[in-house]
Amino acid sequence: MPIGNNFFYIDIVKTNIDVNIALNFVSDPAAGSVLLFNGTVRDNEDGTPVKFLYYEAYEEMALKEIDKLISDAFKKYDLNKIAVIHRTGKIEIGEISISIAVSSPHRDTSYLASKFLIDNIKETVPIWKKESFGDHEKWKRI
Amino acid sequence: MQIKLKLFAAFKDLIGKSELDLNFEEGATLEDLKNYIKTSYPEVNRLISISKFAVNMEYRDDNPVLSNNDEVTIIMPVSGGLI
Repeated sequence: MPIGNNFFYIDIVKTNIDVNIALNFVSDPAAGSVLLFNGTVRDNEDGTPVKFLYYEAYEEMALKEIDKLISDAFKKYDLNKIAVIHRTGKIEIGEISISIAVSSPHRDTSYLASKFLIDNIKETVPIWKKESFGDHEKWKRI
Repeated sequence: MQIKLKLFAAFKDLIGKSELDLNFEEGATLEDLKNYIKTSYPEVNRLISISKFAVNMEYRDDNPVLSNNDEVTIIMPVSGGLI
């Protein structure tokens, strides 16, 4: 179940991410910039072929930590709206694991806020990924 | 008192459970819980030493006294290296 209000939207989903949900949410007449970042599953890790990734989240805490980061982003940057959608479970090569949409009056703050969000989500949000290499697997934080 | 330990990712795989219900004496701290896990599940020792802990979904770098029904989670670090 997504959480949020008129200004932010957070969801953790188990099926394909619909990026239009994020884009439509951040659409705002006061915005001159709408920026979408998608994190996608790469086919290799430092050259070793990856078969697929499996993501696991401590959902309740992940929602809470993303919520904190969104509050920080609104304090730091001049923004209109933010949407963050993360997917869990098995994700195939090329598919989207996270979408971050940001709208702002001017483009600079969209870029800064989007980078701030993805960098810090990787730092503090309890979501892990298991890389499956076929013959072995390895857990990592996102 | 009862403490619920939630396990994710490598910890879930290594210990083989997603949750442990643990019993501690009143006054037990987060450090006591860490020591209990290290003793009971030596296979997670290396990972524990580089992980963070959350109590009731808040990261804790200190050593709080736990309360009945607290929920503790081990947050594996960015790179957990479990083969």
